[in-house]
Amino acid sequence: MQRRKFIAGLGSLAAAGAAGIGTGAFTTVEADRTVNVGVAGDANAFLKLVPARDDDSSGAGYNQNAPLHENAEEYVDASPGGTLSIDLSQTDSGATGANKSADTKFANLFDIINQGSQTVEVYVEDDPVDVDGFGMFAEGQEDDGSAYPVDATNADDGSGISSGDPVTLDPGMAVENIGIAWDGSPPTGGSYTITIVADRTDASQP
Amino acid sequence: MKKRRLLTILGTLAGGGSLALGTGAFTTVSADRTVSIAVADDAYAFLRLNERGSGERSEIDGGTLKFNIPGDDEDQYPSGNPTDPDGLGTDSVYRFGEDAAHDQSGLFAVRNQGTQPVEVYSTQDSTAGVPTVTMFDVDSGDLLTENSPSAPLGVGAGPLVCGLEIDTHGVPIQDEAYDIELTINAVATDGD
Repeated sequence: MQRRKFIAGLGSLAAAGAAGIGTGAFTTVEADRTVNVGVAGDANAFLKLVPARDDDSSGAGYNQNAPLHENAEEYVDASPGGTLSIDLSQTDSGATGANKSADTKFANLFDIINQGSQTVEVYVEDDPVDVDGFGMFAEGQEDDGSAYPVDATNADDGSGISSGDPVTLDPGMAVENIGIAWDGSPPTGGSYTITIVADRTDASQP
Repeated sequence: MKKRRLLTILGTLAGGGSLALGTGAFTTVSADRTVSIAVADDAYAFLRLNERGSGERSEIDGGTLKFNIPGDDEDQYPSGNPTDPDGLGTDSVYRFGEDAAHDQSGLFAVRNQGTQPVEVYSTQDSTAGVPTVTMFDVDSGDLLTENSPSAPLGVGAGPLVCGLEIDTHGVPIQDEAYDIELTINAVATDGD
């Protein structure tokens, strides 16, 4: 209401004399302002994505100096300053792909660390690869790698990392040893995109 | 619960001075990353499976290993005086440690082309009314089961030369061959 009155006042002023007053008319303003955006490699970003570390110390903090897991070393590409990618197409020991008609699981591929300042829920978007039985999983607390849902949407054993079963990470916390599995036949060979999402848990937080 | 841990180095920095934390508020991040996948025939895959011998008790069918017992060429062996059996006897336990040609030990060989040592064994989902098939290590004679798998098979090591033990107890005699799905498992020894 207050604002509407003010606008009406301006209108009558304009009617009173266009010569003296109309200096505020404009069609377009282009005001350049600066937004500083730092873009970092995955290893140094707010949402830090790094090859999985083979840290067997129980209970201790995440040790980012621990050696890489064998699977992370073989299947995960993470050039310094670049983005992380996963290559399940060959190995140094001679494989050129996944077995057909075989349930296959790749554990310990990468870790996600919240380097922001708020608690976030982290998940991989459902059905990143449109193949039945394809899923991603996070290592269970048991640390034995055995508990995982092949289907990312199946969180029965609590180690899914789907939107329906995200991992809550406080600032500085890591979810470790995220892997990929499929049940039955592997996806058709090719390049797929997985989308990793981190959402602030409480929208009312500053 | 997922395994979560506090990043050690951040904890340390926070103790020294909060400058390292608290500057990075973000609401949502959505990061697209690439996964590349290739599919290979058994002879070139992560778990490499090769036929052994030339006696046709095994074949590659659409890139995957398959066994036929008796083999397709059983009527050619032994050379000069072929026996051509129709099948296994019932209520029996057979071991097939070689092809019909007997020119190489084992029916098939397993190699590890992954990244970690694996224990290898076979399982069979359903054994009701059909022969029970179990793989065995031809060198040691040991059956390879979930409770008693192979010794860890190292990356690039081996091969693990295997045969098949087939138990026909309680299995009816029939003209048509039984179609059985055998699962060959390879599980990383450190479990993760």
